[in-house]
Amino acid sequence: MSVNDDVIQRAIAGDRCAQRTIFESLMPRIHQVVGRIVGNSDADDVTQETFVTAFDKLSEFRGDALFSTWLHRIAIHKAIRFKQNRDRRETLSLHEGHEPTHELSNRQETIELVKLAMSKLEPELATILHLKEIDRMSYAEIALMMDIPEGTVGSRLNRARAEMREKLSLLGWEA
Amino acid sequence: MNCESFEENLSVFIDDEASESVAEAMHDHVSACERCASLVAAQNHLSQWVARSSDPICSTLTWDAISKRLDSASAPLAPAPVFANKESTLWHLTKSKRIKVGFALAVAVLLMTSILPLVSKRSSMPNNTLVSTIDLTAVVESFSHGADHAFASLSTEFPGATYPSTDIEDRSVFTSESLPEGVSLVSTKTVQLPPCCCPDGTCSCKPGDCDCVAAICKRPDGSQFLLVSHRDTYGVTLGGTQLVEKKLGEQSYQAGRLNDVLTASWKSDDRRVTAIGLRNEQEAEELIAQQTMVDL
Repeated sequence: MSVNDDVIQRAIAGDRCAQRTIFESLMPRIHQVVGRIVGNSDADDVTQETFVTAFDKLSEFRGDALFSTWLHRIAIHKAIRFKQNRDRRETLSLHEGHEPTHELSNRQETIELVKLAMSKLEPELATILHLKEIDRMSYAEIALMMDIPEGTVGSRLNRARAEMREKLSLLGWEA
Repeated sequence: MNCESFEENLSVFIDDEASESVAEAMHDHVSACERCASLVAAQNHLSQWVARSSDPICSTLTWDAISKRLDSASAPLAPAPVFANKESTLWHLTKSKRIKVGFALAVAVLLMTSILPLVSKRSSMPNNTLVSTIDLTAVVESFSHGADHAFASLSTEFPGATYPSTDIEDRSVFTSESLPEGVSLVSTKTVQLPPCCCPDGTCSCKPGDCDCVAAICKRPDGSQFLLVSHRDTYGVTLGGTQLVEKKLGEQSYQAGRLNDVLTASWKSDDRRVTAIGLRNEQEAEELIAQQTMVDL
């Protein structure tokens, strides 16, 4: 949902109603993006941090990019940092508790394997894969969201996909 | 092109982001190289599974939680307790003044206790009463670059799961019977609209179980248009572009052009359908007639 300039200006001036409008317009989308990076259980917390930070730094929004893009950048940055910190605390390896299986006939089982492999990707790679494969964004849109050069999107996607194939292969995936 | 450079460019190739010359060289290579052809097939297969693995994520986050955080961050430091220093407190007032101040405080407390429940009731009203129109301006503008771009723009605006062609009939409210002859469904996704404003029990537009749907439709000549369907409790706007009210028999609909992209929106039972990228009004009316069973 688009947020118009008038609402943004009022929000910058501290108008709580305008800030609420921004929150209600963009929260579902931000929550999905954040949730795909950090998972369902932590999505609310990181989304909340995103909005608190964004409203705190509203005066830094210069209008160079769309407001939603600016907010997505904050969200993606926070989510990636959160996941990196959480992953550092966790020592579970890809193999622990997940014996490779060679019988992947069940659709749900396959989906779970894909999710598991994605959760083991580096956060930046998982994010870029989500933005492309699930949100169907163009390279130009991904570059804006992740604040990277457009030319880097293809190479990172290549890496993400290659690592996905490798991890799934370890889990018994047969394409 | 050799296999190594093909692999380096694999993503830009399958995502249709390669330059014309690179794409042509890759096409030539893959049509002659079994290994790279199987690599493309494997990646496309994996992409489908990644798309299927996306579950909508439920949120319990409310504005109140954010608002409290913002308020606590901006609140001034708490003043010293009123009775901490007798030199500067009520104790310096005369007895009659203390009574007046006490009376004023009592009235203030009484007013607060009367008003607060009302304020609290207002702030606890469901958020979903706030949004009643969907602005599809960005989606329509993206259509100038093709239906795929408009579909991607919709994905950017609204979260939701995308389903491949094999799952379309199960997921979509659109069926081949509801489309003009020769028009087929290419791709579909559920669309999670911002706080739903449907009356309780009239829809399933909640995170994880939304029945708002978008679909790309293909004409017999390969050209495409976009359909969006949601509960009729939402209206549709195109920013400042005027949608003109029109009639097709008993059926009314709205139509307008933005960047030369024709958009039409109409009510069908308890749903609203919006078609983006129609060729002309005749096509719009054929589509509306097919969907609403109105005679042309």
